[in-house]
Amino acid sequence: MNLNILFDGLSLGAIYALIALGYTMVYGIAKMLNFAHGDIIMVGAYTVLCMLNLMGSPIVALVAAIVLCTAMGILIEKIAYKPLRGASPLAVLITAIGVSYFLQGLAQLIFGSASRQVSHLYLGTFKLGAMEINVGTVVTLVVGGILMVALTLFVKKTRTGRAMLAVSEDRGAAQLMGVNVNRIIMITFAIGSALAAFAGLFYLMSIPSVNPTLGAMPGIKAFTAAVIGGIGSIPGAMLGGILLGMVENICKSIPVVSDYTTAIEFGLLIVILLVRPIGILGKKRREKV
Amino acid sequence: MNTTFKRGFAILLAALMLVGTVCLSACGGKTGNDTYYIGATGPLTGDAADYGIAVNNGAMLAIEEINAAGGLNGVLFHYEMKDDKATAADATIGYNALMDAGMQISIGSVTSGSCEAFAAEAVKDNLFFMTPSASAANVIADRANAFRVCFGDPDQGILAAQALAANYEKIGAIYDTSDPYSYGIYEAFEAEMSKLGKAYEVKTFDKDNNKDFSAQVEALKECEVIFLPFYYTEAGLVAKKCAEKGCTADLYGCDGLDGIAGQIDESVTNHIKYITPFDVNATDEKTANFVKKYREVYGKDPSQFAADGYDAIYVIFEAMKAAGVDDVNISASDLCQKVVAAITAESFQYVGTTGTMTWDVSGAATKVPVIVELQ
Repeated sequence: MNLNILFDGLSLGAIYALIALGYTMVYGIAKMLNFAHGDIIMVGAYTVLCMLNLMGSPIVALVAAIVLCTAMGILIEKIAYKPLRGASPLAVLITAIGVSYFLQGLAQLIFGSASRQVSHLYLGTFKLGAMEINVGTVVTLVVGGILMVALTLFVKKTRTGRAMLAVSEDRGAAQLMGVNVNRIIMITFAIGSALAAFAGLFYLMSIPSVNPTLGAMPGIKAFTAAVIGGIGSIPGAMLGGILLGMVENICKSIPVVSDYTTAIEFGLLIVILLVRPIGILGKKRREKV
Repeated sequence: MNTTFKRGFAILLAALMLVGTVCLSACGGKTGNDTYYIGATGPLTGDAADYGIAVNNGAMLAIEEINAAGGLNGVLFHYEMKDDKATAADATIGYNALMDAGMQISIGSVTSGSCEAFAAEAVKDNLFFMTPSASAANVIADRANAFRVCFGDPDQGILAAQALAANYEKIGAIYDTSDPYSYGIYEAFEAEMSKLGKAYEVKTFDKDNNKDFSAQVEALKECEVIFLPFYYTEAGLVAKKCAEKGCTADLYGCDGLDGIAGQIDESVTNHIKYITPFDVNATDEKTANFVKKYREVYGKDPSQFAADGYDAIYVIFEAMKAAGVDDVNISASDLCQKVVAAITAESFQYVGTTGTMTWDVSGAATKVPVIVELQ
């Protein structure tokens, strides 16, 4: 087995993991599947593209993407999801799909349908033994790891984080104890969307091209990763993402098997759901009757 | 909402629908036309929108020119493209909507999958269509009413196999298993390569995995040439991955690669060559004129798709002129008969932006391919 293939898989997995973190947080706390999450990455990627062309600095581009994605996340939550707080989960789900199409359409209106290539984000490679290592991949992995640890600490140690846990456990009880549920959900969306901005930047480091439907497939893959890892669990999202990225790249490098890459990835989801429906790191929760 | 309001609303809606039906039957009929109606479907939104919009732009430019020059004996043309999102289902819906609106002749659909569905309907109504870009073999096979402007997929595969086998030793290929254009070319390429007794290595991808080409490029890194029978969006990503992984192979593609220049930057040093009927830098008057006008109207370079759309409209116009069509209310079937006779006549030849073309009853265009090397 070529080690480069594993490393490329790790890089792809780190991106899936970052997206999966956003899915898992929103699901864990707001109990909804935010299918527009993938499209927030697209918004982030376009922001990075524009800022790179305007300013040339990836750091400025990242900051701009974080600000815009966070604002976008909060706005979407306020306009599209908040009015449906008491509605059936199905209504919320369909709204999320609607938001996803809306964002794709908006991007096509503004930027056109053609793919746009991104330069200046390629950081070069260095050799480690027989492996050719892409610096961008290392950055993705390191920053992804830091973000995951920071997020875990935030949820466990801070007052807001604990309020998030409380809302996730029992929204009604948390409200009775004085937690402002709407505010907590808003913060969750803000954090999830900021993570999507990071994902947008790292996505462009490995795949230097932007188009309006860029977020759709990574969004679905990351959602799969989140479920495999155990939806609602932060380390689970990270593990699921990296696992899925590795599986994808290994499949793609084996002749014949490569034709079934997508089928194998989603097949993995089905196997996990059959064997361990709560996902690899998911927590079992007793349903109170 | 109270009941009175609801009831009022319902009555209003019903009234509107009634007016709508009356209008449809009155305005959609075959009598009382004052223009010839050319219809089309293509992806104007979604993943393949880039291609549909390019064809539509090219076609609209041709229509404007024709109408500005007085149309056909003073009768102008009306052209409309319905969005099919590159799906077969929406192409059928679009076809029916266009027929209801009085379509008399068509440029079919932009993508092969949609155009197959479009052709299946069009053959029932005996509607003539000249697809700009649907290159799959079965789009025009066994259909007397179906013609196309672009090369057929198998032709390109055979040409590429001959060129690669003659010039390279270590040959690699990547193709898209989910796209009829890509595997149509590849199948012919594969057959020709085995006929020539030449070995090569092949990797695949599909529409759900068409962004990350690390694994494919990693495997084909040592090749002298990589054959890329797919579109420029993905080919651009392959080229950039080659640059990243230090792969110096030549990249060889088909007409879908036209447009790759906009998808790569100076990091890519590989030689890129492709077989194409259209070269944006060509100096012949027709092409130069078209490119200049296209830039003025749309503010960018036309792709091969735009040129195909432009040519398709002109071929229809020239064929109608040659057939001596003079009845604006002519039915689709009658028009088809006349146009087919005119276009397959030995004397009919069209010089367009994508080459000099002639047609036989198979519906395929005969023209000479050019190999463009990207500078």
